[in-house]
Amino acid sequence: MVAEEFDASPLAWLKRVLETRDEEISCAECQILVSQYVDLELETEEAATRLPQLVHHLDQCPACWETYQLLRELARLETQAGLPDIEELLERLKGGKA
Amino acid sequence: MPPVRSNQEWIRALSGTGKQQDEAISELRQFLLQVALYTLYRYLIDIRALGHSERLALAEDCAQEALISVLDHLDEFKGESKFTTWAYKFAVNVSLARARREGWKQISLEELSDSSESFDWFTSKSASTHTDVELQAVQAEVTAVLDEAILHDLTHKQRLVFRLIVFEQVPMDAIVQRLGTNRNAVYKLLHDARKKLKRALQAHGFETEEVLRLFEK
Repeated sequence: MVAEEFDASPLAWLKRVLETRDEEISCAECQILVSQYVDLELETEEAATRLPQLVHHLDQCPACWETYQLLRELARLETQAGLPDIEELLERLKGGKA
Repeated sequence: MPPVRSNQEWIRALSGTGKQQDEAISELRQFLLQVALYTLYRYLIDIRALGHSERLALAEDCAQEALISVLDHLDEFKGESKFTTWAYKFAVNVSLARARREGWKQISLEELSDSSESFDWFTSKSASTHTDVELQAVQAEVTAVLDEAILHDLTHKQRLVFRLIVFEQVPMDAIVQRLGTNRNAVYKLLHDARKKLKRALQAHGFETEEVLRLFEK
């Protein structure tokens, strides 16, 4: 299972060093699989066992983990109430002061 | 609200011609704009210096760039996910990269990397401070091996990327832009650096299981 949060603490990185494999899939390969994984997660609890190389990459790569996290949020929103509409999103984007 | 399209309907319409294609492109563009706005909102911290109209223009740019990428890569869609999840990935990636670059554009990454000389590996958000002298000695030994390996075993680029990502928590997309490269190349540098550090620990007799047990103390 992919972690809910990307732990960037030194200890977490030391763990990543120790869990490094000689062969790991690249970001490009991860990007091919990540949408499949996100949808699979919504259907079954076995997603991680079906794509273990992808899960390992997401545990090691902060950038791909961010993509995964956002895609997961969007896929969940879509299956529930749908994506927020444009007006609402524009209003939210105004929120943080320039 | 337009009817929900199946994967096949999306591909057929987008690959077609005329009004049907125009409608599908327009619908997809709307979705990609929603995804771009959502992503930029989630990374508001990085675009805080932009005014509202600049944020909107950025979202429009990201949606347009994503739309072009989706259409360019349409024949790579194999139907292993929902079409929309696959397509959203392009808008998420473009928007994330643009937000991250915006947020870090004023910071000198070389200076940041040079400033990160020492690093306390044995701190974590959840770890409590312990006073076990023997354990502290092992941790000091592990730290010394890592410091030495970072300095002498890594190439300049591996060291730069490793320090920026691990020590300074600089987003990979910001590094990608500064190095004029791509995510794959930066991940490869990080992966090669991790492999060398792991080997250095093993060469000093620190096996994975043994060091991992230190986490539990």
